[in-house]
Order: sequence, then structure tokens, then C-alpha cells
Amino acid sequence: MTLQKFEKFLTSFGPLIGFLLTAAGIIISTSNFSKEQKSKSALEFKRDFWSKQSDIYLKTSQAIGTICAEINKSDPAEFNSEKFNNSKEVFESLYWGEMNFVQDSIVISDMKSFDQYIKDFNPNITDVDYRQTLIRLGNKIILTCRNSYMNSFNNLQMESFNGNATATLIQLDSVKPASLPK
Amino acid sequence: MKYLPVILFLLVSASSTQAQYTKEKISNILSGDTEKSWSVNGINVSRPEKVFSFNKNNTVVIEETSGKIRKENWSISSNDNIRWFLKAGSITYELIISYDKKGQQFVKLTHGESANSASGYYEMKLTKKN
Repeated sequence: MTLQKFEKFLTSFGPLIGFLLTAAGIIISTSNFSKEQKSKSALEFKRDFWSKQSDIYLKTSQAIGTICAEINKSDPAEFNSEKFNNSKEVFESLYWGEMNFVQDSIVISDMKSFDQYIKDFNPNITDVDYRQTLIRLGNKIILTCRNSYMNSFNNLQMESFNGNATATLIQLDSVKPASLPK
Repeated sequence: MKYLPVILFLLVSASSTQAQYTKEKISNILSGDTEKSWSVNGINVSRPEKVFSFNKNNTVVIEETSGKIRKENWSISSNDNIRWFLKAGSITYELIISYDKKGQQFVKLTHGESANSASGYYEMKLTKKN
């Protein structure tokens, strides 16, 4: 009697149960896939941001490098004002524009000071303290940029590792039912 | 090739002598042997301060355009021996020593409410008073 009831139940609701199980499987897989995609998108965004950040740091360091190389010339006659002014323009454009995009407060604060120095720089002044202060400040900004870049690189590596680990777990989770022995 | 200016700069700066402004040098620039007076000009805004007279005993007399005279204490500080800060009374300024086109030394004081904020930011140019 009980067996008959069970058979009847299976005949009536079997297709529905099968449909529900299939639907649940699809929903879980879609959800896992969506999570994985979100994680990948976030990582790609961060990679893109760090890549732009390093590009800005490199451009800033190049501009400062050229400015300081000119300032370091002790003979005013050797001073190349065209090179200095071009790099000064690049630096100022980065300081007022792109550098604010990466929002690195330590670098920006030092750049603000550097900007004040180069704004009025007089190449005819041979005062060593005056020139070396500017060069040391430039050096400090380059090193801060380098350290920030290295930190970003380490963060990227950590994020990549965590991202891969998450993706691997999701993949393992999604293949688990199929790989289980029957 | 694009790294060349940076490498060149690092090599040059590493080999150059580490001359720099010190607290003593800056104090001497500001106060001279005993006292030195500086005319104040607001760069981006007009400022009430008209004259700063720095004394070797770390007092500063600030004369305002309204005729008001204040006597405060002043001090110099730095975290890295590169960027220097002047505290006059309760206000801290970043102090930048520079030269105009004629080769005359002047002092620029900048003040902002925070390091990266433009709000309340102003600059003053201090030129030696005759």
C-alpha cells in the first residue's frame, strides 16, 4: 500500500522534482559564475588603476629628473632653459591634473613644495643650499613614487593570488557534484 | 631610454655634496645678527600682515595694515631637513627660500588648513625691508 503511494507520488511529482533540481543547479552555477566574473572585473579594474598610477609616477619622476639634472649644473651658462621649462610644464601639468587622480597624499604634498621652488627658480643663483634643497626634494619625491609603485605592485600580487584562489575554489565547488562517485 | 633622465638624476644627486638649509642657516636668514624686518605681500590673496620682524631671541613682531602690532614667538622645524616650517604665534607656514629675477633673496610662506586642501590656502612673499 505504502509502495503504491510512493510510486503514485513519483509518477505525479517526479518530473516536477527533476525540473526543480535542474533549475536549482542552473541558479547555483549562474550565481557562482557571476561571483567569479565580479571578482575578475574588480581585479582587472585594480590592475588598470595601478598601471595608470605607475605611468603617472614614471612621468613625474622623468620630469623631476630632467629638472634636477639642469639645477645640478653649477655653471649657469650650461643651464638649458628650454629643457628646464619643458619639464617644468610637464611637472606642473601632472601636479595639477593626473596626480590628483591617484590621490597619493604624501607625493602630492611634496610635489606642492617642489612646485613652489621651481616656480621662481633662478638659474643664475649659485647658492649651493638653494640648489641642493631642490634636488633633495626632487629625489625624495622620486623615491616616494618608487615606494608607492612597489607597494601597489605587492598589493596587485596579493590581489591576484587571492583572486586566483577564490576562482579555484569556485571552480572546485562547481565541479564537485559531477566528479563525485555515484 | 625613457628611464635615462631618472637614472642620470639619481647618479648625479648621489655624487653631489649634500649641502642643505639647516635650522641655523634659516634662522640667520630670517633674523640676521639680531633682528631683521621683512615686508609682506600676499601672493594669491591680500593679507593683513604688513611687516614681520624676526628677532634672534625667537620673538616676532607682526605689524598689520590696520596698524595693529602683535608680538609672537617663532620657531623653525622640519621632519626631513628638506621641507622647513615656520611657526609664528599659532600659525604654521611652510617656508621656502627663493630668489627673484634680480637675484634678491626672498622668503615665501605658504599656509593651508591641511596638506592637500585648497581651502584657506594662501601664500605670502617676504622681502627684506630696507
